Amino acid sequence: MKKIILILTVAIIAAVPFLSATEKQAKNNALAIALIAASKGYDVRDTYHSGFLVEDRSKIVRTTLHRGNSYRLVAGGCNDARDVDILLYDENWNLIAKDTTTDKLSEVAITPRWTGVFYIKIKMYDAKSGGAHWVLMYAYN
Amino acid sequence: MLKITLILMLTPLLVSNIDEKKTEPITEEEKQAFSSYVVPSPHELFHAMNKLDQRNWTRLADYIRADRDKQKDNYKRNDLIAMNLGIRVADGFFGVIAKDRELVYQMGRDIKTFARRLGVRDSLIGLSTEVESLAEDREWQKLVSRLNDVQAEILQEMVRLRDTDASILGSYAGWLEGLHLVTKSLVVYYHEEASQTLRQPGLIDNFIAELDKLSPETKSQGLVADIIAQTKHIRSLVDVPQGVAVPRERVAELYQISSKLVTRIQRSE
Repeated sequence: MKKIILILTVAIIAAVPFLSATEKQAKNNALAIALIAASKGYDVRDTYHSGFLVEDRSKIVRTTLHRGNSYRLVAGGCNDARDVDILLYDENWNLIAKDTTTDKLSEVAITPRWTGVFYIKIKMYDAKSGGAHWVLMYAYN
Repeated sequence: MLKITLILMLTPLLVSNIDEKKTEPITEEEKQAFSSYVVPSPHELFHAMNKLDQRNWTRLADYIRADRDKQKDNYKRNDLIAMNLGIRVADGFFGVIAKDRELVYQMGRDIKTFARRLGVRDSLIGLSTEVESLAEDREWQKLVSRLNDVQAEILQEMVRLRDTDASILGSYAGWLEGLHLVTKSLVVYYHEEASQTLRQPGLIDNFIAELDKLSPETKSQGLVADIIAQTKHIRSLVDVPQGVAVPRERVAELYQISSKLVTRIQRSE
């Protein structure tokens, strides 16, 4: 069993550098949602953060959100992703927003009551081939 | 009947799976393992201020224009070019908020000049041309997107040139110019709610950590050494509790510090 896990792990790690096309898919998937926000007057920050996540693993990125703005955070998985979730925590790690629907696209909206640090957790809940690329972008108004 | 029984039997399993997903707690290990910081663009700061307190930005635009005459464009070191590029991009974002076509157009031209000096790829020069064109047409929303691209491209260029010090300082200088302009505006007209946008100790902690990665040679330069020291002081000034205003006297001090640093960056050789 350990041998199989090792082989799978090596196979996934070895595959990552060749998956740039799927990273592009993830970006395009997220951008499609972000552009809907843009059509509603949101400014889209399409310089994005991205990575590869093995199924059931997550990544947390930090940012500063400003009081006064309304934000939409969008995480998109590539076509290998079946279920990507976003969970948003405040600076005290209180969960304040989440999208845990079963979809490769995930979106949360928030209008912060104060300016400060927020933690965005992106979770690859389910994916084909054991993992998939993800992209995080956001829009504000 | 068999189908109904089967559904009834499976339902608790399905519900339990959903509940488990929805109530999944964050672990202590995860809290320590965040990977990166998404640095907000100066536009987000200006935009938030504008939402909290509709301002007449004309005077501030004039202030930037007056200051421009004292600026140079013949910097020789990459770190100085990167910092001044960061400042000009922040000014461009401000020009969008102020809907000041001339300011944005000028910024596009400045970026092109600096980009050529750096010998960077044509993509940055192409983006600058696009910024000029969008400014001519007053396409404000598209300009925000292009300026984000310009900012990202500058930082990527620095990495491509294997100059991570310049990349770190360029990103920092863009933020510093945002602080400078917002505090200038608040010094002229203080507004408690708007001052809360300055509460950024987490972001500044990130910059302090980034500045700490600079090479010893860069850190030893007078300007950079001052930037490092002053940034720690800036952090103490913006560290207020949630929902509390940054006091007027602190805003004035923040303006003094940021204004002096920006001027030094612009006038350095």
